[in-house]
Amino acid sequence: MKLTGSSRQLSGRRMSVVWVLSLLVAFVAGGTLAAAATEVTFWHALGSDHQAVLNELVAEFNAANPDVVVRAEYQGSYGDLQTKLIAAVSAGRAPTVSLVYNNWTAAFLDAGALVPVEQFFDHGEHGLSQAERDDYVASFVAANTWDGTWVTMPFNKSIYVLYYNQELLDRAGVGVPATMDELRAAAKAVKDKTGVYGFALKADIDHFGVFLHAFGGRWIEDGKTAFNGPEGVAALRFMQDLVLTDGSAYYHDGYLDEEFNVGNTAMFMATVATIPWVSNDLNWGAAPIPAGAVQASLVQGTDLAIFAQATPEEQLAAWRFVKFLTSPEVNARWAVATGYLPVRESAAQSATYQEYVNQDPKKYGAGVAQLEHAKFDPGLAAWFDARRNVTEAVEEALILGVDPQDALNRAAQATDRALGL
Amino acid sequence: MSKRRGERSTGRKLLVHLLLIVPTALSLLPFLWMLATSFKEPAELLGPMSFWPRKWTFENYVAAWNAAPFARYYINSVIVAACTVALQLVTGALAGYGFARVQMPGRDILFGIILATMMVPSTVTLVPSYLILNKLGWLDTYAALIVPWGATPFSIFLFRQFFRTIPRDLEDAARIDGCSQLGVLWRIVLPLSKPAVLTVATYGWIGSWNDFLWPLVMTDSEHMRTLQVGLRVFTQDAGTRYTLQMAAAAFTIVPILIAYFFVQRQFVEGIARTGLTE
Amino acid sequence: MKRGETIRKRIRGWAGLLYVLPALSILGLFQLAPVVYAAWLSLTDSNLIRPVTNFVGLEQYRRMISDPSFHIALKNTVVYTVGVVFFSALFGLMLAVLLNRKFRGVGLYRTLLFLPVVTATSTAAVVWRWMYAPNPNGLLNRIVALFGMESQRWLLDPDLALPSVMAMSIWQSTGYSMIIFLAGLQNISSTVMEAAKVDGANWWQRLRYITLPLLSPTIFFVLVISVIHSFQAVSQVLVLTGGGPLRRTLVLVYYLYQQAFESFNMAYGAAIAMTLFVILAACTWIQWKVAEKRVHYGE
Repeated sequence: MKLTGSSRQLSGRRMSVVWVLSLLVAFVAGGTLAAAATEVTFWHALGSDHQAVLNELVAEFNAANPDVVVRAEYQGSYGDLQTKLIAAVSAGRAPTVSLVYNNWTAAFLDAGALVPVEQFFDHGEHGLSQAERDDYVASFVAANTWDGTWVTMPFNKSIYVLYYNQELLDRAGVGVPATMDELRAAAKAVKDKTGVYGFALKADIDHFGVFLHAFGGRWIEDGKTAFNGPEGVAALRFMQDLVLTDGSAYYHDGYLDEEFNVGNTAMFMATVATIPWVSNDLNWGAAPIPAGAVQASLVQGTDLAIFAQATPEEQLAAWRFVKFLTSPEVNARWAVATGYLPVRESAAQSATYQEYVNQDPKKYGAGVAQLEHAKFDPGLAAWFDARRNVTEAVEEALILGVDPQDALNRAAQATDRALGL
Repeated sequence: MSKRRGERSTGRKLLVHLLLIVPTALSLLPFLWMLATSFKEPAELLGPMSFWPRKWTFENYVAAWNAAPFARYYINSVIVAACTVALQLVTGALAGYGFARVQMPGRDILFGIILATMMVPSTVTLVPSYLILNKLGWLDTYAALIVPWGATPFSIFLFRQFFRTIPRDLEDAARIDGCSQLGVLWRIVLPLSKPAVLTVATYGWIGSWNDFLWPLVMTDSEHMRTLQVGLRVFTQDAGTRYTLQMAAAAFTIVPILIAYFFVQRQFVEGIARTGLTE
Repeated sequence: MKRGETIRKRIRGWAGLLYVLPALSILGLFQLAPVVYAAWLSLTDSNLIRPVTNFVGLEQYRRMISDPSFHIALKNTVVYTVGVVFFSALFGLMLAVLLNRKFRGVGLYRTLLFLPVVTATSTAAVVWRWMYAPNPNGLLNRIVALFGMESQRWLLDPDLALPSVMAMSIWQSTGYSMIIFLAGLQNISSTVMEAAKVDGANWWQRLRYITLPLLSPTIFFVLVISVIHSFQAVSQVLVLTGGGPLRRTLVLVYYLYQQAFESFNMAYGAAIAMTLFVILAACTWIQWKVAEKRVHYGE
């Protein structure tokens, strides 16, 4: 809705229409509509609970910055958001800023559709000092950097943790597993002693990715797919052992917390974003992902990207909003309210966040404790193809009992083709 | 003898009911479950589930209604569906009449092309349509939600078939009385075509009411969004608020259901009269 | 004089186009133009966001021919379409025959059986997904338990996943064919039926030798429309299975969606769409040809 200035003599009736319209704009903008406010549209895929938190932050920013109006616009699921971004960029009406997955970032960057955030670092008044830059969690910075350029800002990030039902573990006489061997033993003990499954997992790339990195493997190494190396094979074999050999785990394709909440499984892996969904009727906790060869966990979630189609003023205004959202105090509040990870060291250390962790460290401590071991999916435009190929390999191994090496080799070949490696 | 016949027909009636009850129950099952869930407390989904709520609550409806500006979505859905239906009726009746009664060059080819547009998946026309709407400056307005669906092959097809069943004599008589061809359509043909109008309106309304991806992509602002888009808000990356989602689904479905109950007789007649494949 | 008349006729002919013009301009702008655009895209390497687009000829189609996912999706789509069309037409016909009479409550049955058609597919799929919960607590598992059957993993079982998706679609489209069959049945004149009754034809004979032949145009219509709809199914797959497990429920339009929007391969997605269009047009044409021979038109 744009109100241009060329409104010559307006009849009374027209005037009232304009008046109603501007009221509407003011209403939508959240109250503050200054004469020459720069508009920033912010597209996201955050539903009900998270959306409420986000809208509060947006209103706060708008109140503190009368010269900018940020409009947060919900665009459905992440898949819907991606569809919409493609349409909008091709039509030349991209939002000023949006949440993006890192493989989208790669594609939009390649198309010249993004303005790297680092362009604003030296802006003086609204810049980012070296100390502030160093405050961002290093592994996030690395994952948001393409060819040495810091492109996007991490925002709603989450990391895999191991959720466990304390009562079931107690009944099986096992502790919270710290290694993969312990995990396997614990799952078996739970199944044997209680009859309940010890572990639930998804037959997909994300769960495989967690095991892959815990067993010391990587997605890509030296520009070649590497997930079919010995570590990857060991990881997939481990999953296969849990499900097929021991029968102590099962695969599922929905939200695993639902399985956990109704008592179908004693343990499962999911990111910290699941915390609010776990039933507090259970005596539960969340531990770091058990170590295989190494201690590691996988990060998920999206980043803030500024789009190049906006005017420089709008881009700067968007940057100020991005800076605000990831400022230590706001970021800590966001993390506490949503369960997402703090993206800055000072936010993680802040009283706000520490208080949250300390209110029940057994539940809220594991995520941030793993930040130093965080691993990421590759920021490649064609990664979605890889996701399907790897998921199919995992399905073959867990459903059909295909040899992990064979399944992963096929997936690696297909991925190499898709990535043009 | 008449008594025996009476018995036989009672028995047959009973049989018909018996044969209908099972499929009706199957058809209803998901709805009953949706409704039952919408009246459950969220905590009840965690335990072993019973079909009906152990404790009935209306809270979900209140919470769902307040989770997003559903009143606004409702108004938008009604405006969009009503205007879409109106436009479909106008374009459908005109084109249907044209194809059924008026001579024009390339009539059959045109009709074939129109039917062929049904065979292209909308997934692929989404972005091109977005580009066109952008050029027209219609994105994020009602026009983007209404006009592109203001003509459908189905409504044209249906009207054409229906109009063919109306005796030409009536129209000829009106023409002799000095009525224009358009006047004949408006004063003679359309009043006789109430079932067709209702059928087109029903399908038009259902299609518009239930569309999700189109309104999501073609609008940006919250105050332009429709009910189906609003329904998505209960699903997040880490979980779904089922009780709220089911309550919201219930209050989007029930109104068209009630409306359908009232038009269903005419609706069936509307399709019946077309003959469909003449 | 003769010349003058043809000209007047021709003018009237062009005037006739005015009737079609409103519909044609909307369909042209929002259906045909996008199709033409998509057809062009399928000959390029466009992902829509890159500023430079190269013409690559039939490259995308060549890729399609050697793409195992495309073959799987095509096969699944055919299986899905045949199953859904067959069963929803069959059930729809059976219900229509039962409902084609006057009795108390017939309106209620018609309404309730049509209910699934009225519902948004994506909403219905959320409910169905939940009914298919793979543990013994899931609604469907509890129902099959009543018949002494074991719990199934419905959408997770490679052999059951596609049938489970099809079951939902059959549930949703049966009401549609039922209504159309019902309409077709109401067009069959009662005098023919009465005459057959007088001649002593029993219920089955009347169905086999009178109803079905007279209904054949309607059956044809239902088949054509259902094939077109089923071939383009996507929402239920998106919600129920996401194409898995093991690509067993990957259908063409979902694969198209994945390529065009998830993998930034719009051009390839467009090529799949064009292929789908050609397949559907061919199917419809064949159905038409078969119908010409087989369908019994009253007159």
